[in-house]
Parts: sequence; structure tokens; C-alpha cells
Amino acid sequence: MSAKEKIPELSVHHSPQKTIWAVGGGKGGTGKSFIAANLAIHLASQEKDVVLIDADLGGPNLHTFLGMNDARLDLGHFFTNKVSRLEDTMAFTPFDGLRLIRGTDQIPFMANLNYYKKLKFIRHVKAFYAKRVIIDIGTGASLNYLDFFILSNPGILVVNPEPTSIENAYYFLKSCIVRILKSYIEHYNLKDLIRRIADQMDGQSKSIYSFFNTIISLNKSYAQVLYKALNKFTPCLIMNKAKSERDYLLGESMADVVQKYLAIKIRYLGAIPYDENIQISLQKLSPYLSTFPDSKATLSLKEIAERLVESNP
Amino acid sequence: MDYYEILNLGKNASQEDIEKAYYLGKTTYNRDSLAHYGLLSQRERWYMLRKIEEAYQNLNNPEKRRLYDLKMLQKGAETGNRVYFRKSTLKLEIEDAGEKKSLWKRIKYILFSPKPKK
Repeated sequence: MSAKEKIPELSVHHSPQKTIWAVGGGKGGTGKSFIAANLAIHLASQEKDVVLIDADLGGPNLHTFLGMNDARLDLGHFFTNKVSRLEDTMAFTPFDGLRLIRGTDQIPFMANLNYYKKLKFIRHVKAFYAKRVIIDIGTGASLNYLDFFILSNPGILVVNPEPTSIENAYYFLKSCIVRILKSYIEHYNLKDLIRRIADQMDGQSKSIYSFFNTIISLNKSYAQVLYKALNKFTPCLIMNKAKSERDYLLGESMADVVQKYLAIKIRYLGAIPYDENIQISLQKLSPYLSTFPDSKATLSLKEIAERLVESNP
Repeated sequence: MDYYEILNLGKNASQEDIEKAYYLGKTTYNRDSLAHYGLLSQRERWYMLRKIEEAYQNLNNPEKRRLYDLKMLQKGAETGNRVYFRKSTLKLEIEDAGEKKSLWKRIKYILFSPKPKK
């Protein structure tokens, strides 16, 4: 097995004083960075010890959401060994209690981060002290982004009430599932099974549940190992840019479909209403949450943050 | 999946919970819903709608529900409550599995055993 194919660590036990959340999803433009930035601003106002990491390696722009134009150091300095520790790249933000590790736009092909640099990054994220770490991961289902998402607790999937976004979100989740199953199967040297899993998902039946049922019908204990591996993966879901009551319900419906057909539990955190003021705040380089503190979207963001904190105190 | 699992309900679900779950289920697997877009085939969607209807018809009627619960209790006593899907998953140990060769043999048997001829 090549190093590239391995998940860095199968079971991560984050240090008890810290929770790591990754905000991701398959499609671009769903509002991942907006949500990551504003969740961080709100949590920092409550807890005073939040670190936001812009791990959108192909197109970082969290600093823009925070209204920050320049930074002395960024992730590029860390990956090119200009600084030895990830925390040395942290910058203070205009928000009390919130620090930012800015992504780099100075180094080409940063999105193709190699396996060892990814390992180094994960190791350093786990090493520094902060009460909350929020990682904004980029668009798509590359191995780097899948691993950041799988290793966080929980990964937060952002979708919009549009077929393209939903299709990409399911693709992203299926990719995570295959990544987890594959790592377990590789551990047991069952490489042919990997192809079978892919066939199972791309063929007529797309249900992971039915895949498990096949194995269970012949041997419960082996299915149990793989099923348990998946059961540890419990992402959350946010429906962003909701415009109607139907859009709000769609998140609950997606959670139901995921549970029944992908055999994982996904927790629906709620919906954030569509608001044109988000564009306005971006154009003004002014963070939304502080510019529109009483808007419906701000209230929804705060409720979602509270739900996350409740389950990860 | 039993009727409660189909509607995502606990065993103590109230009549109101059942109505809500039924509405959500019908909405989720409706032809116009986006929730299954790109994931479910038409066949799978129809199948789920049928199961939701069946679950609702049985749980919504107090007498039918009582008989169903009784049946489930008896089944649980006989089969040990399907523990392989219900165990706590807090502690995952990859070593839970049998030995490497044994696991490979079993899964190979599952996936590659010759299919019976029609």
C-alpha cells in the first residue's frame, strides 16, 4: 500500500481541552467559509479561545470574511519550513479571542499537499492549545480534504437546497465512507473488496446498508467491525441559503436518507436563511455577524453554534 | 428495519410523533423531493414510500401497534435483539475482528461464492 492511500490515523483521540471541527462539503459556493468564519467569531465572543484555520488549500479567503487584508505569516511558511511550528503562523484578528491561521495564495499547487506534509499539519493542529479549532476545508473530495473532515469531531457538511449541491454532498459523504472502509479493509489486506465496494455504490444499488446486510447474512462479527468503523463517523449537516419552509425540512430529509442508505448517522444542525446582506458585508470587507447582529441568519448561526457546543462542551 | 426504524421513532413515540414522522417520510421520498437526488434509484424510492405507508398504517392504529410491539418483544426474546447493530460504538477496536486470514476467507466466500443457477 502506498503512503498516499493511507488515512493518517484511524482513531484520533484529540486532547481533552480541545475540539476540532472541520467545515466542508463537495460543492463550491455553498457557504463553507462564511459559516466557518462566523461560527468562529461567535464562539470567540463566548469562549475567548478559538483558532480558525484556512485549509482551503486551493483558494483561501477566510481572511477576507474576517475583514483582514494582510498577514505576516501563513500556511505556506509552515509547509515550506520557514517556521517550525504551525502555531507560529497564527495571527490575531479584530475579534477578541479569535486567532487565524491564514491559507496561502503565494505558493502554486498547494492543493496537492503531499502525504507527509498532511501528516505534519495534522500533528501540529493536535499539538497546540486552544479550546476550539475550526478548519475551513476546500471544495471537492480530494484525499486531503476527506482526511481533514474524517479526523475532525464532528465534520460539518454545508449544503444548499439545490440538486447540484445535494448531489455533491452525497458524493462527498460516499467518498468519506469508502475512505474509512478502505482503510479497514486494507488493514486486513482485502484489496479486492475495495473494488466491490465501489461497484456496490456505483451500480444499481447505492445502499451501503444493503452492502452490510449481505455480509451480515453470512457473518455478523466481520460486518460488525466495518459497521462500527463507520459508526464512529458522525458528521453534522447545515442547510445554508434556505428560502422556504421546505428548504428547512430538506436537511431533516437528507439526514433520514443518509441514515437509511449510507448507514451513517448525520446530525442536522439547522438551516441558515438566504440573506443578500451577506454579499453586502463581503463587499465591504466587514464580517457579517458583527455587521448584521440581529438578522435571521445571524440568529440561526448562533443557534447552530450552541447546538455544536452542547454536544462538544 | 422495523416500523419504528423506518419512521425514525422511539418505541414510546406518541401519536403526534407518528404523524410528524409520517409527514416527513412522505416528504422525503416524494418524487419532487431533492433529498434523494443523486443517491436513490426510482425503485429504492418507491420501496421506501411503501415501507413508510406500511409502518404508518400499523403504528397509527393503537390495536395494530399493540400487537406489533408484542410480536417484536417475542422476536427480540428469540433472537437477542439483533445486538450486532445495536452495540455501543464508543470503543472501536479493529482487533474485534477475527484473525486476518479467517476474515479474508469469510468475505471472499461472501463475495465470490458461485451463484446458484436458475
